[in-house]
Amino acid sequence: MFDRLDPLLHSELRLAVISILVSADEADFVYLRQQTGATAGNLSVQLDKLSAAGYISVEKGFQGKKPRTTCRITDTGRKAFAAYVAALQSYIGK
Amino acid sequence: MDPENKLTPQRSLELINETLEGNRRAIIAGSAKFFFLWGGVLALFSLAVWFCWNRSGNPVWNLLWLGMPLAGYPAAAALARGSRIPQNYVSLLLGKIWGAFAFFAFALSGLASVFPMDLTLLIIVLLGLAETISGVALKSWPIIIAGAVVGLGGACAASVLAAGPAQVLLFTGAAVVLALTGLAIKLQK
Repeated sequence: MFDRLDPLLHSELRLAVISILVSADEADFVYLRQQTGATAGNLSVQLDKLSAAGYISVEKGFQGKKPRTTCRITDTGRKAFAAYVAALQSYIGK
Repeated sequence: MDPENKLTPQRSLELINETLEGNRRAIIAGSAKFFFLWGGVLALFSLAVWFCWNRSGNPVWNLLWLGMPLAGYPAAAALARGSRIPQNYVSLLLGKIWGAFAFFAFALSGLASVFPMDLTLLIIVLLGLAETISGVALKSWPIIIAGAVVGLGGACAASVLAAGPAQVLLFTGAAVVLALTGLAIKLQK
């Protein structure tokens, strides 16, 4: 029996974002854009989806005079990622 | 990246691995500027101590070392604030490793005034050890090798050189290795 893959994480860009955040305390929008190669608009939409699901928290602030958007993974997001990887293993192992 | 692109399980695992590896590389690359910074600060202070001690013949100029954290830490904090590279457990660990090095270096310097010891040898070994452990944490061979060169090469040189201003130049050599480590990391990127 295959485990169901979380549809919110089973998308290239959202999975890349969560993978970065799972290994970092926090990451800012520009860094996420550089690491994923996504456009600002596309990334923004996907961050909103992850945030709406409670997988990440998004904080808007300033670094000096420049605006800065910082993302962090939540406990819900961490658990969802762990469950997603476990589900992937059920596919790979069979 | 197409956000709604349907992934295969294999591709998902590959993507996770690639992303984690990319993140690790970015953090290593981000550490290069700190090696440049501390290499520069160490070179500056070692040359200043050597110059003043050599000219005056008075070891009291070693007190200039106290200025090193006062100059280095605010600069490092400013660099960290301006960086977009995220913190993770490895970068936090690096901060603790170098914090422990600074603690031991200054504690030994204080103890050396009561219990005579070869301070240059001890501190250069600690410096090499801190750099090697940093390299292990970052899984970076240039840093591991540079740490071994500083620690072991410095220990041998400190044993051969007579105590005095000339020994201080070992720290200038260590500073060059630190800066070269930063350069190696940049080139590796």
